Amino acid sequence: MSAQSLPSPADAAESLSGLPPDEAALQRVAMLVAEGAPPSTVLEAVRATAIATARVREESRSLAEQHEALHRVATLVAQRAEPKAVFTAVAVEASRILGVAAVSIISHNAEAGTLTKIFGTHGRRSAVPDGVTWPASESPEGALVLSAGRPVRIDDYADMPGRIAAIHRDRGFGQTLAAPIIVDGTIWGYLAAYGEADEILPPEYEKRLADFTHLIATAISYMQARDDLRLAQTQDALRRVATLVAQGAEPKTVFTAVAVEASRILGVGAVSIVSYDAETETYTKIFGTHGPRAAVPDGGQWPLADCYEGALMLQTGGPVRIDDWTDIPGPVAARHREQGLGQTVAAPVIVDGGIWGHLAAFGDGDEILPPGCETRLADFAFLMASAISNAHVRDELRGLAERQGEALRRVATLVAGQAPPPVIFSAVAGEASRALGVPRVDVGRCHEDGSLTLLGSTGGPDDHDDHAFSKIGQCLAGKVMTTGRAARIDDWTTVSALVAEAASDEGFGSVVGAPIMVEGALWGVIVVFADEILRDDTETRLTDFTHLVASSIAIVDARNNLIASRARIVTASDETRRQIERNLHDGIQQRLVALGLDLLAVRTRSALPREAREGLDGITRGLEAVLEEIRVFSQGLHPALLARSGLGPSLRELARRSPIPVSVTVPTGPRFSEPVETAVYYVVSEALANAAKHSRAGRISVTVDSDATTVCAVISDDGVGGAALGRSSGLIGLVDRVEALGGRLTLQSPVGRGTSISAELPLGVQVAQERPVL
Amino acid sequence: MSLSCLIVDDNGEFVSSATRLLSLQGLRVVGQAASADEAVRMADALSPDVTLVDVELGDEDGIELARRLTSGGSSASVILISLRDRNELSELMAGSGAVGFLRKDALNAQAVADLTSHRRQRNVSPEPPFAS
Repeated sequence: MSAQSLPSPADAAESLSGLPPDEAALQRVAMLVAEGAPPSTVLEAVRATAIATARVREESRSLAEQHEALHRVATLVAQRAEPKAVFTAVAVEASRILGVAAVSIISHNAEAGTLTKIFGTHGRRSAVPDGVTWPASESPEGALVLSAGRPVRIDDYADMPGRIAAIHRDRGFGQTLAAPIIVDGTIWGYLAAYGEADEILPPEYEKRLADFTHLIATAISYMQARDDLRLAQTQDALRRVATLVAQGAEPKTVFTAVAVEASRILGVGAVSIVSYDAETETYTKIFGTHGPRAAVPDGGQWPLADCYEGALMLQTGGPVRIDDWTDIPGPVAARHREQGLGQTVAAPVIVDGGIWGHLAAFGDGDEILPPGCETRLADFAFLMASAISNAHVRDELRGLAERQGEALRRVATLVAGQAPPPVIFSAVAGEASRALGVPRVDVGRCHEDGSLTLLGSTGGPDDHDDHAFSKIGQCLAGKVMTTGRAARIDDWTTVSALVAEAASDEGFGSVVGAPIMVEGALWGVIVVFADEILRDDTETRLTDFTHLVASSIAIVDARNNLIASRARIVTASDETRRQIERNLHDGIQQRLVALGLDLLAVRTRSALPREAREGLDGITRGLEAVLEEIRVFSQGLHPALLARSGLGPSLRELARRSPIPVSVTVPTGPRFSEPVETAVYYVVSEALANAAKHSRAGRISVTVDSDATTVCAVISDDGVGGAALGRSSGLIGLVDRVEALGGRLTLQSPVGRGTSISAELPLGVQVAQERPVL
Repeated sequence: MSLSCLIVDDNGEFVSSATRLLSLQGLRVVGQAASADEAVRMADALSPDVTLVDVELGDEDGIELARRLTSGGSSASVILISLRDRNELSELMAGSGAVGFLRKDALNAQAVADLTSHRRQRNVSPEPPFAS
């Protein structure tokens, strides 16, 4: 047990004047001397001063001790120790430094009105075991500290009602102190110190206990920041998979990447990918990371009745969670139990509107999968679906190409080359007219209200007036839309006089139309016009061309979806980084600076012994280094001032930080969208960093220019050139970021002739847009 | 007579540590404000010799506040403070009317007094952090 409270003059002086005790005492001595007080009075005052000074020394020593404790705890946090280990360390350090009988950390759930014991050092004298939750009202010190919001003291439990107070009496605990742990302005819980029966805890212990609660709050903030970082890692993993999909990787490659990334990010025991055949109601295991713990080997099959998570998803259509396998029937569930797999989260992979299969993550034993798991798995499942449907379309195109040869290959090339839709549809019309030997082919889009838009025609994208169909075309398309099947008119007596007249005016003897089906619904029509009666097999031969249109749409659609999805991922990851930067800035950075100023105050106000001063100097230097580290880390995380100050000032700030002189030209017009500005910022930042490292340039120019649709940023230097996108991961990351927004990054770096990096970004990327209308 | 000082910052922990330190070092901290409106009211009522204003005042703009406090021929000195580096903020701070800038970890009474006494001299050399 440490010293009891010291005599009162200094305390009184402190509470009256707010000055630290040593200075107050010194002032008293000085005043007494000046007033000519009797020597005995002055001596008494000097004695009080000596006691007060000793106390300041004691305080600074324990401050140093507490800072060492902080350092030990911070090290644990930095080593990614589990929260439990961190809390244990804090409680043990607190009980050691304060020398009390026991210390416990309790968390508070305001919504439920409950308390949970996180950890206590009571050992066998504990009133409740660790991990137990009970109503807040049952805990005397808990109820008190939560309502007061500041440290409280309970003198004894003698008259306290309730179960917990009784146990405390029983186990021989006396005075109890509790201090709230405040994280981000709300009471997260409290730290309690229990003295032995009849022991009196010194009055400054409230404050010292409160110091430990700051330490816990800092640790909690650190751990929250770590969770945030984990989220950022998820987004990076998603981005890597999205890049694979965008590069047209085979589904198998994408599946493996998904399983590996997902099991790493979620930190679960195993991840599996399963496909479903609705006709036979059978599941097939495609790939799993279980190793010998797998219930079904890769390639193995099992029926719907034995796939609990699959059956659930067929009902809900969304992600599901299974808490444990205990009561679930069937051999697969039994095998999961046997292998010690616990909580499971699964997300369906939806291709062309139907369930293709699912992605499942299995936790170990009693492990609880964090609440965000469903969403993360669903994001991975979405990327898998993109890869699968891309591959379907590619297979279909390959089949078509084998039948129709060159004609289709030309269209496929246009599609692959990202030609605009009107060009593609006119090319389809042209190829169909050549293959069928007819003078005119129209491709039209059917709308829900029954109207038609002409998308492409034999004459090319511009060969039609106001996107309207001819009367004959409309009449035929109407038939196709009603029946959903191919239709023809060559007997002009069966149509209205108006249409027949138009046909004879235009000189067409025969018209055939065929439906274009996309995802099972009528999307549009292809209409063929001929002078003579069209051959009987025209409808069949048209099928290849309707498939071609459908494939082109699927590809363009998939590409747009993927762009939107990658843009969403980039935006989400930027948002996370922004949040982490904000939390660091508002939380840990402020707290450390305040601590630094406190240390300076201790040094300012008292003459410290040499070793204490040296100790404080060391802590101050450590603090400066940590702050600087966080400052640099934060700057790299997110351009915090970009949103406020705009692209121009932010790029000029980057230029000022560059060791090579940089000239910056940025238009002063309206601001771009936040994702675009952020992308431009990162491109310039990375390009400047790269130039500083490798270019040996004398000067760099940064030019940002924009027109109605595009913004272009060019960073050129007069250095040695020879840069490659593969060599530096920083530049590769930029390709990823720029492409995710539907833009393009190009690099020109001939040896000896400088380097020029150019990023072109479309201004109109709608991050939320899922299905652009063709 | 020592300098009187108003601290405007929305971070309570920093405000109490800064108040303690500056008081010990001989400044009179006459007020603390956590929002722009509160700051304007207190500056009017207390007429401090110098007002320390956090650049990022929660959702409010400390630089805009500096402009408000120094406009209309007011004789008040404003020093902008931030956790961030001066060069990150230099363009934003231009034309703010502030007499200077201090990084929060370089805060001390001497630096505040120097900046306040050389009102027209906009830039001081950066202070070492936690300088005694």
